[in-house]
Amino acid sequence: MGSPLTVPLMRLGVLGGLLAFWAWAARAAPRGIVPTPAATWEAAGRLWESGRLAQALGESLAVYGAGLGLAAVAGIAVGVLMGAFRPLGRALDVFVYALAATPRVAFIPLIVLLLGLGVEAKVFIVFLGAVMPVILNAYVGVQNADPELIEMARSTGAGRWRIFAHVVLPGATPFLVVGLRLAATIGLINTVVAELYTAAQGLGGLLALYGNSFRMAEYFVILLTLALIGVVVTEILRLAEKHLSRWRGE
Amino acid sequence: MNLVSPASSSPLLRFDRASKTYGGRPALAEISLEIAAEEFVVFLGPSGCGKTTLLSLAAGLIAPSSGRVELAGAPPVPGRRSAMVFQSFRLLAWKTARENVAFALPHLPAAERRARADRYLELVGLTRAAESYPRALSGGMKQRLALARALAAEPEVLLMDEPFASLDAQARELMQQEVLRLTERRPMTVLFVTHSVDEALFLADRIILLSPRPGRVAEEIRLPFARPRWAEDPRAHPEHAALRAHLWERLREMVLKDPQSDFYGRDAT
Repeated sequence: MGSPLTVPLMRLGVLGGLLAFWAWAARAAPRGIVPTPAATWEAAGRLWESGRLAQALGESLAVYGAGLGLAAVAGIAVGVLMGAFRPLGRALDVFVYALAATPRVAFIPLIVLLLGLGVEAKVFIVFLGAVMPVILNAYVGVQNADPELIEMARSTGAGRWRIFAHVVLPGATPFLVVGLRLAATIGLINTVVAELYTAAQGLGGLLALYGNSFRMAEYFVILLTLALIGVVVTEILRLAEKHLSRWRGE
Repeated sequence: MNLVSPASSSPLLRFDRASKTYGGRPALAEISLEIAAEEFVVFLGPSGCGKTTLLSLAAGLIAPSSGRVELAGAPPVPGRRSAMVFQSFRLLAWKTARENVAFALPHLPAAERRARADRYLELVGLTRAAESYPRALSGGMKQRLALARALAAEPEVLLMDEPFASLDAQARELMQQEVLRLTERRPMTVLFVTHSVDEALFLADRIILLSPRPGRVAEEIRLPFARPRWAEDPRAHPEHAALRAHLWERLREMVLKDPQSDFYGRDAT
C-alpha cells in the first residue's frame, strides 16, 4: 500500500486480465465474430503498413481537433459572456439548456442538407456536440465568482478587465476544465457518428467498412485505436487540470 | 501626537451629512465627520450600525445616497489613496503570497512590483512564505498577508473592517501591536471598525461610537493615552477603566434597545 508503483502495477494486472478474457472470448464465441489478440495485432500491422490506418487516423483527428477546438473557443466565449452579463445569461440560458437536452444527432439530416457531406459538416457535428458542456460550465463558473473577492479587487482600484483576468477567470477554471473534459468525450463520439452518417471517412468510415464486411480483426484495430485516442485526450486534460489547480494542493 | 495647525486645518477625509439606503432601508443616516491626516479613528458599534457601509463609502466602493464624502477634497476613488483590509482576508487562492501582494500594485513595472511585494512581505514577517499559496498559511499569516497587500499600495488611508475578528485571542493581540508598529513607522490615516471595546481603546486616537438602524454617530471620544502605545500600556492609565465601563454601558444599552438584536429587551435589572 502507498508505494508509487501500486497503481501502475494494478493497472497492468487489469490489462492482463482483459487480454486473457479477450483471448478466452475469441475461442468461446462462434467463429468469425471475436478475433484473437494475435490476429488483431497482425491486422494492425497490415493496416499500418498499407498507410490506411494512419490516413484514417489523420482524417479523424483533424475533424475531432477542429470541432473540439472551435467548441472550446466559442463555448468559453459564449459561456463567459452569459455569466458576466446577467440579463444576457438569463435570456439565453433556457434555450441553451433546451438545445443541450436535444439529442444533437437529430440535427444531422439538417446539417447534411446545409453543409453537405464533407469535412465542414463533420466538424460542425463535432462542434455542436462539444460546445454545450463548455458553454454551460463556463456560464456556471463565471456566475460562481466570489463577490467578496471582486469587492476586494475593486478596493485596490482594479477595473473590469483586471478583475475578470485575475479573479473571475481563475475562479472559474475548475468548471472550465470539467466542461472541456465532457466536450472531449462527446466530441469523440460525434466524430465517429459524423463519419458514419456523412461521407464515410476516417476511423468511423473504416469501422463501417470492416464491420459490414465481417473483417473483425481490422474492425477491432479501429475500435482499439478509438479507445486509445480517448485515453490520451483524457490524460492530457487531466495533466492540464493538475497544472491549473496546483494552488489547491494534492 | 499630531498637532494640526489652523492653516492646514482642512481634514483629509470628510463626511458631510452622508446617508446610505439599501432598497429603501437606511443603513447610515446623516453622518458628518472630519478625519485629520494620520489620525487613527476607531468606529465602535453593535451589529447593524453601518460600520462596513461607512468604510465602503470612504473607499469609494459605493456612493452616498445623499450628502457627500470627500477624500482630499474630491469623492474617493477605489485604490487611489486608500487600501482596505477585510475580516475574511479575501486572498486570491490561486496566487502565491507574493503574487497576492503584487496584485495590488498593477501600476508598477514588474521588477519594481516584485521588489515592493517582497519588502512588505518582510515587513509583516512572511518572507519565507512568499512562494506559498494561501491554503498553506495559518489564519494569522493570512491576515498578515492581507495587511501586507494593503500596505504595499502605500495608501494615505488604511481602511480596516473588523480585520482581526476571525483570529484567536493571541493572534489578535499580536496583530494589534503589529498595526501600531507599522503605522508608527510609516504614518497614515487609519479607519478601523470593530465590535471590541478593548481593541478600540488599545488602538484609537479617537473612538466614534455608532448606534444602529440606521447608523448614526452616537458619541465621539478622544483618548488621553500617549503614543506610541507600547511606551505606556493604556490599560494602566487611570482613565482606562472608566472609559471601558462607559463604552460597554453605551453598547449594552444599544443592543438591548435594538428590536433586531438577539438580546432585545433582556434587561436584567
